Amino acid sequence: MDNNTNLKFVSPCRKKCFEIENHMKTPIRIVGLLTACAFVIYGFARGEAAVVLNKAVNICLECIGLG
Amino acid sequence: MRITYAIKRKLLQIIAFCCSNAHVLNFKGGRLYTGKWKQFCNPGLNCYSCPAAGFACPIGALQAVNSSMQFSFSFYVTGLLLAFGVLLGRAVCGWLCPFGLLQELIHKIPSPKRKLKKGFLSIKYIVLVVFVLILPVAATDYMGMGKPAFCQYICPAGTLEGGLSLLLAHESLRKAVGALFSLKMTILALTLVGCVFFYRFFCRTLCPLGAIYGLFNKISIFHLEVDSHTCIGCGKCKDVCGMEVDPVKTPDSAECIRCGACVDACPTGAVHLGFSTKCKKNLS
Amino acid sequence: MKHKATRMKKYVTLCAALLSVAVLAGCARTPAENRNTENTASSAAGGNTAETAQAEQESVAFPSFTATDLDGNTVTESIFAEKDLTVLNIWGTFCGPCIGEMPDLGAWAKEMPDNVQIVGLIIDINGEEDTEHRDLAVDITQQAGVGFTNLIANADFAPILKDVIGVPTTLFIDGDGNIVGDPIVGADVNGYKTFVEDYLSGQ
Repeated sequence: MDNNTNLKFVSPCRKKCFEIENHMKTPIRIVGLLTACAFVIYGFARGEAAVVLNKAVNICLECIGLG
Repeated sequence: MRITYAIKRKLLQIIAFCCSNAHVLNFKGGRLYTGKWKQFCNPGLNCYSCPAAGFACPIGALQAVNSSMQFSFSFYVTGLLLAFGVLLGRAVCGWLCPFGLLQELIHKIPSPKRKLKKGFLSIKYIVLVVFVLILPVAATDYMGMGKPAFCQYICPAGTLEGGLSLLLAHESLRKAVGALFSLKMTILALTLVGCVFFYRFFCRTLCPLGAIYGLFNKISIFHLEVDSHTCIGCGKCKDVCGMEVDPVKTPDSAECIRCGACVDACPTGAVHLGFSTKCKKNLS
Repeated sequence: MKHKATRMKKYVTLCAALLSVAVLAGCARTPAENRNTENTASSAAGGNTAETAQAEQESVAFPSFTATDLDGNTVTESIFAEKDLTVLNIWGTFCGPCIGEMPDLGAWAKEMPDNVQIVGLIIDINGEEDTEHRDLAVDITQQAGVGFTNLIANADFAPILKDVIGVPTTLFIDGDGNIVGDPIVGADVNGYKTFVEDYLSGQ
């Protein structure tokens, strides 16, 4: 099957790709999670959660398509 | 031997659905839950105007803050989306989203099942950028208050969970129904019909939340791997994939919802789904 | 095979347990939380029946109240006696359509007949300490060019607000303090105008 030959050709490349990508992935993930924490804390502190709560508990006629 | 991902996932989806919509008693009076938990967002799509909803919708919350008079960018919701994205990527769609579960159940209705043209997959990015990101900030009135454009004009989850539930409970709301609601009902009908023929039609063509999470699939901690040593290239994983992804070629595809069907289907156990990196061990 | 079956059973029991906990937690919290919150649109039961009763009855008296308006004046239900018809527009500072229709209401208030008035009722100012929402409301009314009185809702309005599902909702009250006609839900200034015209011509 064609797939088989393609795969054998790709294999060594894929090994290398995995290694490089894995090395890059971890720092990206760490930066991402730290940024996420910082954003959430800052957003909470400046009152964004209160805005969300206000919109979520009052029936938003706009949101349900009644204008 | 392991329990199939199909069963594990369905159970978790049902639990997530019930956790997202725990306040079922509210349907009777047509009232919303108004407790403090609603300032926290669900990871998946679940309208906060649904009487049973216990948490806020992330896309709704994003629009709410961005369209508000006080803010034009939500650090809080963006941070949450970033966190869910890095941790789970589009696994949220596959394991936690209530509307995703609904679409899968509808797809079980017997009918000829069709494949989706690739072009349709791009629509959700346009929906995300225009209706979720731009319009709430740009289409403002004299006070600087914008419109939650996705919720208002498009979201079928909102029409179904919020709109229909509240209309059924309140006679006075029924008089307020106009052209806008007809538009939303049409979109809902198209979505539901689409889901019968196409697996997760809304997820693939329209969902802005899926679009966001999909972008994280390349780096998400919960991810899919194919061990090239064990893979025999039979193509069963590609055939069984509901989202039409080829796990061998693109395991980090932005369309992959980490449902694990390919893992269950692989005859040699070459496909791995999880938080740890299995393949690295094999390489050394 | 046997191993698989027992593991399966374990999973199913665990999931069923989590499920029941989630649903029970939701159901248990709902009545308690709703009773505790001060938010007016929160009662889980009884809203439906009271609403239909109100729609069916010809004249329901608006409950008596003592409230402050945005300028700090004290207002009671006697405000309704000043005119033949009062258009009571119930709104909130979080509500986009409410804010959107405010300039139109302001303009209409200036040109409406002398025996009709508009009074606003703001539902999301939580007591005297809530200066944030109060200042926002003042800002909105100023920017919209609104001259009519806007009342700050308090517990006295609870019987009425219990039946208000979403804002904007507009009620019509005659000179005797009775609610006439059906409430109009949603921003529909033309609808309000039509009702007022029909009501006055029917007098």
